[in-house]
This record gives sequence, structure tokens and C-alpha cells, in this order.
Amino acid sequence: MPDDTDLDRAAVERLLRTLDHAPPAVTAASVIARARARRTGTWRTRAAAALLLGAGLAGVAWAAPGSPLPRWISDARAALGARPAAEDPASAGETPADDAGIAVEPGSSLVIEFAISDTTSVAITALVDGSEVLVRAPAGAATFTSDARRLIVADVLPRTTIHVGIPRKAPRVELRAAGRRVFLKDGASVVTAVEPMATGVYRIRLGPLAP
Amino acid sequence: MSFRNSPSGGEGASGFDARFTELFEVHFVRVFRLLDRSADDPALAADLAQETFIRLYQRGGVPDAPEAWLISVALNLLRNAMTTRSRRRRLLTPARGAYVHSDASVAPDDALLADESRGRVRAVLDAMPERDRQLLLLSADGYGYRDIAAALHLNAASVGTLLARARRAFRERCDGDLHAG
Repeated sequence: MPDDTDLDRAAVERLLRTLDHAPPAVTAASVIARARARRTGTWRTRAAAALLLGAGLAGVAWAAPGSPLPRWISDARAALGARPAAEDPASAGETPADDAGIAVEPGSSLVIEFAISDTTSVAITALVDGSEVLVRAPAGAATFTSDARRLIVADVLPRTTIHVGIPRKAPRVELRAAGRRVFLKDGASVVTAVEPMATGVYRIRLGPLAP
Repeated sequence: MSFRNSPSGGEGASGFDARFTELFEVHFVRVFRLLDRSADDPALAADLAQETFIRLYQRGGVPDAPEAWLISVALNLLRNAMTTRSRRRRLLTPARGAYVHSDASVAPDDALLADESRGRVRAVLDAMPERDRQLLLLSADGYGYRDIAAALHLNAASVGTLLARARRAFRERCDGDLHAG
């Protein structure tokens, strides 16, 4: 004799089936092909960006207003300026072209809160040109919500590399993780426990401090 | 879940490709159904379900808990998609769903009733707290308590109780609305 729990389960499943649509006719092979094509395109992009950086052209293009170079060149510059993805286990397999993220005006003060409990994810933080704070992560690896004074990065998957771009002109931007401040830009000064890398970016480990 | 060590596909298929294909064949429809029931947008659900598996393939290795990983990525993708786009009216999609699933010989009145009950179930589901909605959908999709707990950042020991409450509330609300109509 089914109890109430069984009846509830059966009823819920029956009701939910009324919402269903036919699934798409997608094969594993087609998904694999799309993934490979995307990766090939991304690596070509990064190689092209590397060539341009080597020739110094990207620097000129970066500074030129209305540069025709697509946005990914500036992203690749930031990514290549940081620790190479192949050497960074936190970003293995992740590519800027597959990122998702959010851009917000910093206003007079902005707090970026990483609601995170694991210790394997990092934030690659850099001061950038432009007027918006940019926060990016591999698609699906985190969620972003924001209000006027706070940006929350949550549901972060383990071993995720999050890229944070803070405008040089932003009055005050604070990064917090696991309830503690990990980075503060206040006017022209930067306060953080990590030393900047040779490229000027900060590699900040997120999550709670080890006991 | 166990995986064969040798490729199961055609000539040249890598070990990972074979494992990916196995995961895809078992879980793609489940992931699509979860996203479809959550968003009531089969086109979006199809895109996000594929994106979830593209992310898995690009990862280059099978996660320790693949079901929990798939759920987490799918729900994150959905959450980001829903916060960056305005919701379309769902009027067209339920009608399309009714034509897909209904028998061609169903009388027009029956189709209309089915459409109305579907709309009420949709409304009840959308009105639920996000966590309860996700609990219902994941459980109905056959995911175990451990994977649900991992994906929703819950204590595994509490999933059963939370789920029972969510089911009861959903069923009572749906039954009440349907009978009131």
C-alpha cells in the first residue's frame, strides 16, 4: 500500500510531465565536433594575439580609440599577461572565448563578493582601462548577481579561474572572499596580501584561509 | 557508474571520447528535461544542455561526481541566461508542447483543458522558491540525494525532508488550483 510520500512522488512526476517538450535530436558526435571547433578557433585567436603582442601592435591598438581589433584581443592580452593557462591548473582547459561574466559601473564604491568555500579557485585581478568592472569565468562555472553597490560571484565550481578587471579610475573597489577582504583598490593605492606578478596582475587565491 | 577503458566508438575514438559519449547518452536528455522544465523554453534548454556537454568535453576529463557536475553547470548556465534576458511570454510554447504530445484525434476541448492544466502547473512551479523547485525537478529526473545535495550545496541528510515538503506543497497547490478551475 503506497504511503503519502509515494503518492506525492507519483503525483509530482505526473504533473511535471505535462510541462515536457520533445528533446532535440543531438548526438554526442555533434557536440564533440562543436567543442573541438570552438577550441581550435580559440587557440587560433590566442596565437594571433600572441603574434600581435610580440610585434607590439596590440599595444598600439589597445591605446587607439575606436580600435578595430575585436574585444578578444584585449582579453587575450590580459590572459597572456597572466600566468599561462597551460601552467595554471586552476585554469586548465578554460579559454577566454568561452567565458561568461558581467560588467558593472563601479560608482563611488563597489564590493565584489565571492561566495565560495573551496580553496582551489583563484581570481586573476588586474587594473584595466575603461569605465566598467569586468568579472569573467568559464561559462557555467559561476553565477553573477549585482545591485548598486555589490557584485556577488557564487556557485563557483572547484578549480575555477575568475578574471577581474578593475578600472584604474574607479574610486574604490574591494574584493572579498569567505568573509575576508582579499584586495582593495582605494584611489591610487592597492592593498592586498599578494605580490603582483611581473605583468602587474594579482593572482589571488579565493576561499577560506587554512586553519 | 563504470566506464569501459577501451574506446567504444569508431576507429580512432579516444578513451575519453568513449566515456564522454556514454555520459552523453545517459544524461543529455535528463539535463535537457531539467532545463526545459525549469525555463519552459525548449530552444533555450536545448542550447544550454548542449553547452553543458561542450563544457564537459572541454574539461578533458570526467569529474569525480559527473552527475553533480552536470547539474551544477547546467543550473549555473540557466541562472545566468535567465538574468541577462527578459522572459518571453510563454503562450506560444505551451501550445506547441500540446501539439507535440497530444494525440491527433484529441478533441479541441480536451486540448484546451490540457493546455490550461499545464499552465497552472507551470504557474505553481514558477511560484515556488528556487531551491524547492530545483529539488522537485532534480528528484523527478532521477538524480540521487547525494548528487542533489552536491549540486544545491545542501546537507545530504536534509535532502529527503526538504524534498518531501516541497513535493507536498507542490502537489497540494496544483491539486487545489486544478480543482478550483
